[in-house]
Amino acid sequence: MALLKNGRLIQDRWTTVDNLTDALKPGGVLVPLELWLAERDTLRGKSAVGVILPNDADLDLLADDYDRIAAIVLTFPSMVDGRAFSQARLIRERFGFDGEIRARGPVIADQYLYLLRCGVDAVEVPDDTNVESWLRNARRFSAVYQPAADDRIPAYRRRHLVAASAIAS
Amino acid sequence: MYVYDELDRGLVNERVEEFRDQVSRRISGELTEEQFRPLRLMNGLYLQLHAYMLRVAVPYGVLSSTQMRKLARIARVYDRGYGHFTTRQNIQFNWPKLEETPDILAELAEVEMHAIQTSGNCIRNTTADQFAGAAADELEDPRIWCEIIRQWSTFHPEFTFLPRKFKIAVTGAVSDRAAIKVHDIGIVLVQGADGEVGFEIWAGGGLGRTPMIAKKIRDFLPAADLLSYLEAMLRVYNRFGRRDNKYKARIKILVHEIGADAYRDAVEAEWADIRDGALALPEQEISRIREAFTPPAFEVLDTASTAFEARKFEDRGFARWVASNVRRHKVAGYAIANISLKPAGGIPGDATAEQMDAVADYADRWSFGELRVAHEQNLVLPHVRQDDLYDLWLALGSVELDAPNIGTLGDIIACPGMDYCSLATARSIPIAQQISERFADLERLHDIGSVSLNISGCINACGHHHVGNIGILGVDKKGEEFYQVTLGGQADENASIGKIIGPGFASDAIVDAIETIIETYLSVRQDDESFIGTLNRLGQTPFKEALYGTA
Repeated sequence: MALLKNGRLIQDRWTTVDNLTDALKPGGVLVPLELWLAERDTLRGKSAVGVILPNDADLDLLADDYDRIAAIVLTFPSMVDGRAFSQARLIRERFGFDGEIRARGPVIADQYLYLLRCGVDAVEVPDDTNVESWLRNARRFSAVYQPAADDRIPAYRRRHLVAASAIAS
Repeated sequence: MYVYDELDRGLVNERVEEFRDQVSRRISGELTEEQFRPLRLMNGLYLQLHAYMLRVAVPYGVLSSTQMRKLARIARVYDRGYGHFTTRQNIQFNWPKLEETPDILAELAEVEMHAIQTSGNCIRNTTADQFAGAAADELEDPRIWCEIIRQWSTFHPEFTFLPRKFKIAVTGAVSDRAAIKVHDIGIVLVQGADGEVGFEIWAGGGLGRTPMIAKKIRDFLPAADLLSYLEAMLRVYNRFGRRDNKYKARIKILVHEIGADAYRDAVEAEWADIRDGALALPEQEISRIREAFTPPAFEVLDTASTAFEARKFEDRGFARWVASNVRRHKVAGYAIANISLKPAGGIPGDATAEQMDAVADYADRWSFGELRVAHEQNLVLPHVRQDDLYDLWLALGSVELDAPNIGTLGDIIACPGMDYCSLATARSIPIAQQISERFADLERLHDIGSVSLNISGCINACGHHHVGNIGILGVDKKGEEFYQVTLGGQADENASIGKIIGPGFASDAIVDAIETIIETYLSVRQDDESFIGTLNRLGQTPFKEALYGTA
């Protein structure tokens, strides 16, 4: 798998591990939520740790950890199970997490805009992914109708910004 | 009517291009059918029994004459010359070709229409009172808030892959014509303590396999908080709604399983965190949208028109049509004219391209170019001068749209059933046709009076059989179509779920059974008591005895 991030396909430098011994080896590791919860005092000493969240996880469990975690992996068991879209927004907007949020699972290019808007900034994709197809989808719409975790201004504000600046000029 | 600005127009056009790209990637094989399916559904494209079906949104049931002419053109060019108006104020075309659907969407975009989110597990077309802006019993025009919801829910990044479909209905009137209590979220415009307009919020209603009446979640929500509250409601549902079983995935099951109080608590807690955020609508935007629904330039007229009264006196057919199809308007001298798409023996909700064009002309001539689609699968000219009703009625007669049967037994709601639908277990349309033919006699039909009869061809209940005064559910029993009858359903402000009367009937016995029920009503009703009034007074017993004999 590769990682689609910042508009480019890059090599994924993180390793997914499921036990403490592997987790403490050098390099970035992604650990299951239970391992983090059980060993967080030990794991906090390590700088590059990411936590893999099931899509029904209670986000408050990490309330004290968001500023200590480097990455969060959100799980999409199928492309149509959209629980992690809500998780992403809450992690960004409510808990103020500013590390990497990556999507893991069979999401497709047509969902990229929604992922980005909810605060996901990295997607695990097959190595032969057609990046242009993903980027086209991210750029497709010239306006948005609602606020989300990104900085796009919803139409209901933009219309009046335009009107106000037109009057001012 | 709401008119698109460049942002709205841009989005709809960009959506067409997105779908064109998706169709070509499907045809080339880049997208699998499994990947393509949710994408096409969110553009209204179903794969039915015989062909693709395209469901086009009629946002909150409002159409201009220009838009209606476009629907006629699509019926003529891309379909077989007709369209089918649905129980959610949309229109379906039954025979489009996959490769032509992007062109259809492009044509729709030219007249500010689309098929966005008319299917799929997302927020669907918001529905409303078909008399919005015209009804005499209205507090405020609900279309203002429907348009605000339409925009907020369109391409919502968080709520496009919900556990299941999600339907919102809004009414601004005392009489609930939008069936808000059988929607995932029902919104009623109400007046707050200091006179300002806000919302009463209901949740967890729905039909399908497990029919439920919605629970009240909030007595009063300030208008400016509408979107943040909806977002909190949807977020709780998206996170905690069941996904293990598609038949238990609607919000009604969540509300039922955790209880309305627990659901409300979760929503209020979520809302507390977001209500003062970016979702608060700027007052300028509410005003902008409110202006789009400024009433048309009504003339100042007398309440009663002598010419209109004289026509009713002279022409019995006209008087009968007025009695059943015309409703009181909020402005003196005007009336709301319902156009029945239920001719005796016809397919409920179907209209030909010629009829659509004709109705568009009548809207231009007599109703400020405005049309509505009712969830009962009829059309409405919302603003007709009483003096023009006679000419309108004659014109409707010339295109066979003058059936005087709104609200009567002839005004049957029916899903497409096994004639079109791949989910259906029985046919609905032929049963509707036989019943409307059996009760085609207008004297008798009007004597029977107000009664709703709804037919679904399977347990998914698209024909809303649970909330018909008489409900018919078609089931498959060892390879044969059988029809189960429920009595006592209501979809209005007194919403209730009908109860099964007894064993079902074979397809050659169901029409007789309905006639027995109606004859029983006629023999025991008091004065001008309606069917539902008699049923509520006497219960099911007399009907049961008439159908099955005394035990």
